[in-house]
Amino acid sequence: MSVYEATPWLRQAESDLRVAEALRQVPRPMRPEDAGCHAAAMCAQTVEKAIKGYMIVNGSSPKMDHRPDKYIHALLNKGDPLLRHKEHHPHLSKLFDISTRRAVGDLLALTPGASGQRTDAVNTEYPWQAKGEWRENPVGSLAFLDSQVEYWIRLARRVKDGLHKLAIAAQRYDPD
Amino acid sequence: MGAIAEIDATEVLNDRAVRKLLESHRQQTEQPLMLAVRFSGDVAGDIYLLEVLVDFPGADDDELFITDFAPSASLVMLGKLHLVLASPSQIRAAIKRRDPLLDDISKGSVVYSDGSKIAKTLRKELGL
Repeated sequence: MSVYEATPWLRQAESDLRVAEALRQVPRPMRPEDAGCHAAAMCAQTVEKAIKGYMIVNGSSPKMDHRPDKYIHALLNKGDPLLRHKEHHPHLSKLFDISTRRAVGDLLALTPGASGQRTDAVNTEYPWQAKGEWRENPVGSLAFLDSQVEYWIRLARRVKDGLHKLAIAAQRYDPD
Repeated sequence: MGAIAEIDATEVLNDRAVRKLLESHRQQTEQPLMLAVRFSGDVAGDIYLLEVLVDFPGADDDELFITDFAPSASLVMLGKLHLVLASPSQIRAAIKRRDPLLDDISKGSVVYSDGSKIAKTLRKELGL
């Protein structure tokens, strides 16, 4: 697998992030309450694709599920075979500090299906049950207030940019 | 005499490695190369290279991004390669905040320029 195969993943991650930022501006005909959940969904997509792209940089085929954060622990272990580019280790340790790892987990858990078959899981797309009844939906939910979405966008930008820089460095190191 | 021959051999090998890298990098269409500067750093014999890339990701005020590489089958050299990657805006921000790395970079030599107006301005701003 070539390190260059990561490029489409990172390009798409960058596009997803631009969409998240655009949605936050509430373009017509959206209503203000529409923006939060859809922008959060795009942030989760950004992080998911950036991590998968970075796995490809390391010569691995990521599983096509919505929880690539399961690879982060291995990437932070310098001796793990999943981390082919050992020279990236200091950057990865800085990028994925404890609070970032936790936040990435929280964000990816918002993807539908990421929490298994649970019907009470807050997510970015489908209504969820509270006290056994379908009561809540993502649009207008307190889970997707503007301040929270601003936080998700900053997180997605940081993770995407950090992994994208490492991918570009890996691509430039291999002149053949 | 032996020491001089050894230094020459290192220079020849490392010069060749830099040329090979630049030949490859100038052909890349994703994040195209705008300006490259070879400079000296803490370790004599290592290669220090700054590459300014169009569309390099990150905020303008991000720290300059540095990675170190050991020799490999595809890049034969003596010592390590210290590669600094940045966007034009990140270089400008580094100049503004007087990033200490720029002291070394400004004493280096330009090994590639795409000839654009921005590249020429950056060279000037870097004192090259």
